[in-house]
Amino acid sequence: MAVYDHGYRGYGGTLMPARSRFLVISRYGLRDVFASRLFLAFFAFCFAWPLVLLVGMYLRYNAEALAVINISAADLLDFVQVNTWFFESLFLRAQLYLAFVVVLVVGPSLVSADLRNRAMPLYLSRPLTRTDYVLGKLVVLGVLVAAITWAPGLLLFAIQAALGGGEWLAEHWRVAPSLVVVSTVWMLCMSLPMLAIAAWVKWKPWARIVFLGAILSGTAFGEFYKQFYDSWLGSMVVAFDVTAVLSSSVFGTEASVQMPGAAAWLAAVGLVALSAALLYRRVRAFEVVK
Amino acid sequence: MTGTAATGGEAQKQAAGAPPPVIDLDGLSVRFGRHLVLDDLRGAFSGRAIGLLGPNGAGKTTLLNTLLGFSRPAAGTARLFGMDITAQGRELRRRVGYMPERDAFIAGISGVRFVRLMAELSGLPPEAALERAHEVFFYVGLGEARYRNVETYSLGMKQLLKLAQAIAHGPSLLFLDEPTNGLDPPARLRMLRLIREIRDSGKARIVVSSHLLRDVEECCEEVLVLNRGKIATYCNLAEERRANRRFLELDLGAEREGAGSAFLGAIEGLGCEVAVVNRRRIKAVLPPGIGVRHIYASAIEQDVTIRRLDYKRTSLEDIFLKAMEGDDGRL
Repeated sequence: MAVYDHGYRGYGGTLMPARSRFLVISRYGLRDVFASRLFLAFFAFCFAWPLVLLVGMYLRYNAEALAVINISAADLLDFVQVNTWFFESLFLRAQLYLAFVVVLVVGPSLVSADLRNRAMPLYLSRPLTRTDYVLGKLVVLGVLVAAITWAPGLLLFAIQAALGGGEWLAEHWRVAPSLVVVSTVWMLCMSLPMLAIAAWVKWKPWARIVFLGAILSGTAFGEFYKQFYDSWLGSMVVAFDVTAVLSSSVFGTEASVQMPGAAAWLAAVGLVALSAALLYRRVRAFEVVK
Repeated sequence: MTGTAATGGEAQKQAAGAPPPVIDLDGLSVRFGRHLVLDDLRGAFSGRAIGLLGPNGAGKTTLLNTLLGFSRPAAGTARLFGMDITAQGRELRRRVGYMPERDAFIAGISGVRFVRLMAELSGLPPEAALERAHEVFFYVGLGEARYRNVETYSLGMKQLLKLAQAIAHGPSLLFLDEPTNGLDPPARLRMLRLIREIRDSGKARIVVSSHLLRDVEECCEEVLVLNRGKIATYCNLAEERRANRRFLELDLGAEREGAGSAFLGAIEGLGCEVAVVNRRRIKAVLPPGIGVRHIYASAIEQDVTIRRLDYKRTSLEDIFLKAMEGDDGRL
């Protein structure tokens, strides 16, 4: 049917695979996110710190460049130790703060508008399940978080491995999978609650406020519990503590927070399960009023 | 049940080689909490355009939602084109287009992008989806507005937009829920014309859910009437019209108390099908061998004055009113 032929006709062409249909939602979501110049500028800023670290790593192994800027190699070697701490605390911790902003900004816009404008019947009347819908939205946040956490992290790791040689790689191989695991678990722990809140609140600014409120009130309650009962149980609702312990357990470093690794994992899994359940209650074609 | 509907599940037993019915309801029941919304619906429907009628709360939208897989049946099942709605839901939804009753859109994108997204979600490759999106925009008459943000569309444009997204992927079954809601007369006529065009193209079967009898009458060939979650009647409008069963519409004036009811009983006794419009007006279908003179004779016998008598061909309103009659004969 050409544009000039105003008659109805069916479609008999090829079809895309059903299993990867959720990626259509992700693709459109990512394109919408990057349509904002402000977000694009912020996203570019997210690569500033990895770039600084990259320059530092490069200088450590480049005596000529150090000479140009008048720094001795010994000073820099002392100052920048490229080890597990470098990747876990110096790189990843900073990037996770930026990723938090990304989740806070992008998360609510992914689902709240769909629910507010009753778009769910349109999605779900197609060969798409609720899981596909959630997965499609989650992939948007997953890609964004990955792009500023483990993707540059792995790049830094690869460059350092090339510069440091086999000995360094043999000693620090665990860093690479740890970057991916911690970033992904953190992404799930932040993104699913954000999506769930956005699905219930349906209004972006409120969703952000509720999300921040939940994190702050959890932190306040957890700190109070820790002080009052002198127990690590309070840390289970403190996002910072859970992240720190999870990260330490994966990277194999010593945690700065007194909480068993299993408890941190339990808190993370519980949060993800609760968020998924809340999200699934909301992501429906229609609401039944009993 | 009247018309061409077969008993539920019988579609399976139909002669080999015959195409399966469009909709085959096999004891379909849907429950929301304790409330039984659809109660043991049975029937096989094969019309090109099926009208789904019923008063508010009759279960029309729930039936559509269930056929689309939004609600799970509490008992029984249904098949579309012979495919089970629960077991083959994903495959079915590829072949189905749905125009919801209420406003539904994706905010912040242009009309053509919205329809393209919907087509891609139905499985079309991106290039084909874009092409189809442009085509359907021109087809529904929104070509000039296709680059505008959907939030800026008027109510009538949004209705057409919903139709555009429903047909973008070329479905073989189209569910239209109250397609003329909120439309002004010219827009309503345009919508009905589009529905008739799609029906006549033979490329898609259509199910139109509406509470507007006239809309259904204008674009549907068969009608399924629901009442309180049950099938009240199913009939083929074209056959009804062809049969040319002549209706009488009578305005009555009763001289004494109870004379009207006695008159109704008397003409029913003659074999007439009677529908009560209101206290003063009835409609009756005359059986073979019974003429107007028999009606007048009954009126004289029961002391009833016939103030007006018109011949009236079967209309959807008559079918609907008859279907809606309660056990006590009142609407």
